[in-house]
Amino acid sequence: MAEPGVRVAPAELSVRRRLESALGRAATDTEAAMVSVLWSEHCSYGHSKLALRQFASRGPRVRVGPGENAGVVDIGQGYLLAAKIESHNHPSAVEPVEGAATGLGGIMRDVLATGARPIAFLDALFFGPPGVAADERLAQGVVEGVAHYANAVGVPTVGGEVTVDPAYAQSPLVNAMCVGLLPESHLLPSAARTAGELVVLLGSTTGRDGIAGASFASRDTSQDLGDRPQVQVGDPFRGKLLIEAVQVLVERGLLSGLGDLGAAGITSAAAEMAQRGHRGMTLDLAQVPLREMAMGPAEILLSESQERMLLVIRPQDLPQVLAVAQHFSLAAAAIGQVTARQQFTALLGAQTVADLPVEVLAEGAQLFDLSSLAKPPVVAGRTQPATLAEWARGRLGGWALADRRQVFERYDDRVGLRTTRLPGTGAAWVKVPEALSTLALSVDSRPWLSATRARQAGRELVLEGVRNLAAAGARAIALTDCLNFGDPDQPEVAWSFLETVGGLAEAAAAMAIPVIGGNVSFYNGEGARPILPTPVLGTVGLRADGIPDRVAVDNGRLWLALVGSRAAVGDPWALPDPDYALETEMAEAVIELLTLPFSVAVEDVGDGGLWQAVMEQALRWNLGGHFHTADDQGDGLEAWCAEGGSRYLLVTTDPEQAGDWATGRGVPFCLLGQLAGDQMTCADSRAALWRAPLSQLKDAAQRRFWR
Amino acid sequence: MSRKAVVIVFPGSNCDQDVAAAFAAATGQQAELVWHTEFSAHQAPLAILPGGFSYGDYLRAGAIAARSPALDALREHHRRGGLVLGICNGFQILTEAGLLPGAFARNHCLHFLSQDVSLRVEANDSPFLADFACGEVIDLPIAHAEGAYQPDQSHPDSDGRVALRYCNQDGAVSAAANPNGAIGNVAGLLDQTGRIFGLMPHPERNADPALGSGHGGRLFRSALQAVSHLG
Repeated sequence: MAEPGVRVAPAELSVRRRLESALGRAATDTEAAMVSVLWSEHCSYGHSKLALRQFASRGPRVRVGPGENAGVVDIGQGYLLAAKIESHNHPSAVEPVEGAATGLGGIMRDVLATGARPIAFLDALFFGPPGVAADERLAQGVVEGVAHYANAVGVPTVGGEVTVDPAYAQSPLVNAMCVGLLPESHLLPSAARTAGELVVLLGSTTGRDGIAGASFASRDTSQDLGDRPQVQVGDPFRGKLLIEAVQVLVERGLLSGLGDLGAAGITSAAAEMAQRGHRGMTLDLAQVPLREMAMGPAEILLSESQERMLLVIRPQDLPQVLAVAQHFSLAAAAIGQVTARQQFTALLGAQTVADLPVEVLAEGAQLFDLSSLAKPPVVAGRTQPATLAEWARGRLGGWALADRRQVFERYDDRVGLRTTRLPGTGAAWVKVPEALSTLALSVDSRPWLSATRARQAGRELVLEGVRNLAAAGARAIALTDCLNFGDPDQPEVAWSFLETVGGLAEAAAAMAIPVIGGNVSFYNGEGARPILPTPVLGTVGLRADGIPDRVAVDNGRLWLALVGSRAAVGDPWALPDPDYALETEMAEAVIELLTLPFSVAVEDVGDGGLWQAVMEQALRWNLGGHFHTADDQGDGLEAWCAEGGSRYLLVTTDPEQAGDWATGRGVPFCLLGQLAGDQMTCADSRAALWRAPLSQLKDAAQRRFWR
Repeated sequence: MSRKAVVIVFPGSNCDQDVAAAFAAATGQQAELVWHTEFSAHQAPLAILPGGFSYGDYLRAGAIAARSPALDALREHHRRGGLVLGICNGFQILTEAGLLPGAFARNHCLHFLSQDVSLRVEANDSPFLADFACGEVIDLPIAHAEGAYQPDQSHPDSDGRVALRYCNQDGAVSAAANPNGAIGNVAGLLDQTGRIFGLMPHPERNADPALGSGHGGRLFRSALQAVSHLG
């Protein structure tokens, strides 16, 4: 008989059979329950693990690659950076405030588990359009949840993006990236390496919240909305105390291993730490500090109560560790021991409730090779406009220009005193005086491109990250990816997933930027309608020396120029093939350009093409202008709307000097026009293609994500 | 005692290290972090209550921290002539503890707001603002969800003196320049002695000119000057 609170669904019966054949004996209900969660897609990456092996994760800076908590790279001066992006889509679709909040908490603990202090968040959020009450509730709730958690734990939200599209109606995506900083000496393995050491549970008490949340996230949320208790509840106050307590423990050298409790709770953290250390663990569940009465062993092992960490410590340090926990009013207890025998044993007092080989738990899940299943989708794509005027009308009527400050102002963007550029203009800047450097951070996605040209979209995301950072004066040093897709057993979803990973892996390797970790989220979408395939890429870089943070503009006379070029391919909606060597050259040229006194700002030409980049500058400076492209950019529509190619928009005080620099450097350069007046005109070399008063742009910027 | 300032850290404070770092950078004097249960009246002439979410803002912002034994020590510290600076959540703690009059309601937009604001200096006969002129307009950032100051109706204007009001860049105090719905655009308040100062904006966040106006640094230097002969 199953114990209360844990249901055994028919699909889990096959998992049980698989487990029993691996064990060669009957499994206990507790063991079956543990394995059914740990082998779920959410925990085991069964459908994605094989494909993710394509990512090149090594490099001279990489200290920790994928597979642990967050990836870690060396930024010099004895300092390391931890970074990871993760999704919390399904819980946010059910309970947006708590879902988003616990998403932030989860990714923060992943970074904390490396020994780092979290110093920045970025979020990529995807909502259905406003006008539908349920979608507005989701959008507003998600932003409130992000603010609720991030603001209170005192980690600034320094950037991110907001995408509005009907494809995300009722299926919002919440992707959060966290970056942490640590001196080299603080780096901890998320592993139990020494037999005889103690396993300590630190943080909140353990309750029934979020039990089997991981397997819930691997299911279709539209099927059963009676699952509300499976969404965990975040407590940023405890989260903040946990950050401070862990910092003290790390500084005093009291930890030999550290893991975060997320999906599948104690089971997952303990099994993974034992597996990485090639050791086993024996845990006594009677020692776990509980917040509820009469919890069964499977409930304790699988609870996803938030704000908990698993510590591995030397036995003699226990009193000191407990004293630190007490100082911060956190629960803490030694719940077990690291063993030489690679066996995961859970006791409840004298009774053994689970006794499984670590390898079976951690590595026993079935892996699926999606390539045998994958089939290219028949995608109509979007109906494309025939004129620039039609294109502009579409974008002005949407949320492309909507001022993101309506979201960012709800986040504490500067606690920590590191934010040297506030969110809203390109990549975020986060100063790290400890390592004598400034980070540049961005998150990017291109869902429609991914839907129609998955492989190109994968490549383009990497290149966009590189360009974003170059425009911020920085060189990319690491990538972290969050891959949001529908049901991977659908051939079209499998195909676009594999194509996306292939494109990302190819471009990342070609640009020599290691992928240091990430997250896959499948089963997104309502019923039979999946979301757009939505890979989100977080890019981490370091700003080059000698670039001023701000440039004073005295007389206010500014020109826009296009720097770089895009091979005209005759179809504005197709991407030219990537030229990786040229991308690197152009990125270096732009970084040099930013050191010159006539450069006020550079933005890369990305989503929405040149039109979008120029409109953003018009809004930023509150000025219109007459802007025209040259013939080598293709016809008017292609020149203004097309994406791809290594192109940047320069804001300059002196177009002549800028042009001379470009000639000397051998970089394509096209002066578009001066920022002036309150009328906008976009033209090619022959004729004006679109005109509008600046006020129309401002109206578009005023559009709200909810009422 | 040569230490000039301490920052009292409550569980959930999150601007404590920022204030200490900004104070040290602006004044050249260390501000030591002190856990709230370890604060006592003799530690330094200036005690700073930092921003953040003490006790998670549970119950009401500042309500639980106001019951900490640190507040009894703070009253003693003030009685002995010490200075008290409460920033954001620190200001909320001071009103909850009755060291400054009034209370805070949720911002009128009903959400957290992080932005730069302009402030008009209304009183400079306090050590904290001695370096500023009356009527001067300064820029500081705010970051809070409960900043709508409500004066004590039973004693209007009797116990506190307004030191800073939200204004536009020209110094006009108007509804349009009020970010959070504070009654009378109140952003900063002094007690009758002028030695307790609470303000919602965060001077530590732009003390470093790389992060903004640098006006926050002037406030710290002004406070330091006042305590330089003490302690």
